[in-house]
Amino acid sequence: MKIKDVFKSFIFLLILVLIIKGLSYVFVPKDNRVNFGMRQVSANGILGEKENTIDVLVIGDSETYSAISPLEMYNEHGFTSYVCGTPAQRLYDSYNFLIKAMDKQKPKVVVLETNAIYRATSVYEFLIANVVKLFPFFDYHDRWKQLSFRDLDASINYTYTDPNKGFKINSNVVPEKNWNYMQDIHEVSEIPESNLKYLKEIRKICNDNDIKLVFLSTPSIKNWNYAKYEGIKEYATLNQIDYYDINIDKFDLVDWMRDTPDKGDHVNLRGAKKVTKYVGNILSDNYNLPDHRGDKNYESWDKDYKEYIKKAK
Amino acid sequence: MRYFDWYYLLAFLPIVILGYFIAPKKLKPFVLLLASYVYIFLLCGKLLVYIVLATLVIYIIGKWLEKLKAKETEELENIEKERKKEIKELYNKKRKRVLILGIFILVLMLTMTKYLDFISININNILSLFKVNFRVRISNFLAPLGISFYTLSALSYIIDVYRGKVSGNNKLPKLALFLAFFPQITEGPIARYDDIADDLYSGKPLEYKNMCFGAQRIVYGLIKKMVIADRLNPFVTTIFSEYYNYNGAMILLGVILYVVQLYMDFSGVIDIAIGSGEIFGVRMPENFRQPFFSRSISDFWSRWHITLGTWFKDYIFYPISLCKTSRKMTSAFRKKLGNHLGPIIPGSIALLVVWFLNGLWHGAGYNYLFFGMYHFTFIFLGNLFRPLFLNLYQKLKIDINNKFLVVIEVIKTTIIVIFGELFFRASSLSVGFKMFKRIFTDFSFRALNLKNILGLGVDGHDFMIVIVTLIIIFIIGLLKEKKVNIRESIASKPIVVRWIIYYALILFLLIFGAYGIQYAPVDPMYANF
Repeated sequence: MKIKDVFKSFIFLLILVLIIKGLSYVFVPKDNRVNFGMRQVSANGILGEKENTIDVLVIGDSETYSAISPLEMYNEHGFTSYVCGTPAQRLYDSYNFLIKAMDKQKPKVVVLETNAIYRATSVYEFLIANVVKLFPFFDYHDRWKQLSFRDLDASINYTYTDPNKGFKINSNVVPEKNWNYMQDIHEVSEIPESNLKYLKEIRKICNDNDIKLVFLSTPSIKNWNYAKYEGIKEYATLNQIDYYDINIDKFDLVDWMRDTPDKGDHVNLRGAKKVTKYVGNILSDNYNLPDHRGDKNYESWDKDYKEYIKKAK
Repeated sequence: MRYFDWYYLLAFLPIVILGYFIAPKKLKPFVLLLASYVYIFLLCGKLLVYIVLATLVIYIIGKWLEKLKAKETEELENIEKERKKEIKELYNKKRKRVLILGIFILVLMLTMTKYLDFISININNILSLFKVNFRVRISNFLAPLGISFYTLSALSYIIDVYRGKVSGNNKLPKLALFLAFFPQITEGPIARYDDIADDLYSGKPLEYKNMCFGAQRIVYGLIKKMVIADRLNPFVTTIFSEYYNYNGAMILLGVILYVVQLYMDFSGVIDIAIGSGEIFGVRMPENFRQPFFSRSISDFWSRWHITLGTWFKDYIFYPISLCKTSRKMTSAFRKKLGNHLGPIIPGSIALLVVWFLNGLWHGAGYNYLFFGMYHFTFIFLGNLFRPLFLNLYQKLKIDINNKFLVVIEVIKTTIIVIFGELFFRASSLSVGFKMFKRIFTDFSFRALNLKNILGLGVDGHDFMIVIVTLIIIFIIGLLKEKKVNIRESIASKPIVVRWIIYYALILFLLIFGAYGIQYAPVDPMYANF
């Protein structure tokens, strides 16, 4: 191979990369609705919320949208919150959701559900996540099915917001008899190396924007244990982060015979109401959050709550 | 690591290319060998042990056969004429024994990994038939990917050495590379030693043209696999796993789509393999030659999985049909039944063995054996009635190359292939028959409505892009059939035109490929055979 050929190959690849970058602007959804090709629409509903209206942002995996109902907290305390939870969320996803949300929101508190902290990120996932971040085309290439001339105009206008503010109602009951999951086994679960970097990034964003970062472990027999609690406690203490583990602090809050839809993996609606009440009190008591009830700017929240209580019976 | 994974295409392959580029000429083959062993290790650690063992076996057998040959020559030089025949026979016997030993070891290794389950199930069935309580409990040692492919290459080497077609005095690294060369390890093509070994071991410098052509071939293979085969996967999987929920018409559509999927998947992966080899200047044998332009089943098998077909022809069919007993039978039958029917009977015995083994090679299951027998039957019938049809065409004054006749024959062959593949893909022979029966007893065109067709995970857009891509591939096939060298003609165009075509191909793949979180990755379909 001659130098000329190497140079030619380099130019060819460079142009290809530029084309893919250009196509990324075309293929990225121009609205956060399903019919615009957006995925994880309930979590991405944060993008459609009115500017600077969310006081608390919750990030994490399925534990978040199973256990925390923003509208219940709004009705009880008046502060607004949104759950950017997705199934099996990796910490880099949590980090990305935080960054995306910060575009339009200035939350006072960010609640990070701790289960995602123990979900290790492989080098492969890390690479893929970064390539996709740089070239969203790879994530949305399948949108050729919905593409129209409007997509050539790269302007984005997110209009959708989830009426349940990210919370997912699940009323099923599949009980779990064995509640013996928080025994002190004198072990500390180490946080995966790959996630320490993202924790640092999340902390930095919160510090830079004067946001209070809070760690929260919601009840889960399948996913949580004492060693994990110890690991998070150690990290939280070291980095002066408020940490609440309901599995420890209020072990009897959840009745696993009635409050779980999947043998203790998550809580169901009944369990979520208890957890939400507990978390709502903590947030309201400790973080000086505003009460928007009665505020005309937040009328839509009252409306959403009325709809919500019809569904969440 | 599969050939269509991004870490093969964007990490493994570029690193090997770079290593090969940097290495001095003498070390280039070792870069390929190291890369091949790394690839195999990443695929399955145990497979590496098997392939190293197989390499040692063929190395020793080759040397042994060569040593016997040299000894024979030496003895023949120092011996009186009358004893020469005796010595030759003696050494022929010795060589045959060494060859049989080599074949036995290689086949035993294949059996241990692939057929023990099947053998034990059959023994237990027989035992239960005779109401014996004892049960055999042996199972496959492991199922390393690709063992069926490299075993055939290994066998071809020792048989070729025995036949004197290639020398057995080859260097161990050269043999190791011939057997383990990474692009061919999971699905072939089943290369012969004299096909690729010299290319592999010569340490050719990287050439820009080879790299471009190799990359083009890879992209073309990826389009076949990811735009067509993987996109059709949900439809095919649902029909074959829940056939009892569907009307015969839907089952037939599922089987047709399966044939499309299988061809695009297998030939796509082969394109990637051949393209990967081409980058290093290694010309691997072609495995497909427009199989759906075939006019008969035997024509089909000379165009589909060519390297397997020629392997069976050279190492099973000819040795059987040209052995003494067979020749005696041929002349005896020729006298009694005439020149056409006479050779057909002994030839068909060889053919029967070939198709029995072909079925068995594809998998340890009765559906595969049936698949083999199914194709044997149509080839046998084709051979039997060919003169009859030729006579008929002559009497009716129909030119055998008449376009209409060609189309009819191509359609007939395609239909036979489609039903054969039904049994090939079915989870068992009995399921295959149930599906077959349903096609003929519960068939309604009404079932082929859009709601049914589009309700199995492949939507209208998917079908549209599959059809468009198939049309493009059909046109390319047609041009190839007319001996048009498309790649050379593109290469002769000005750089701007050339690059536009390449970008269009790459973007076609990137936009329409079935990859990403919406799609479950589909393993290469021929890797487990």
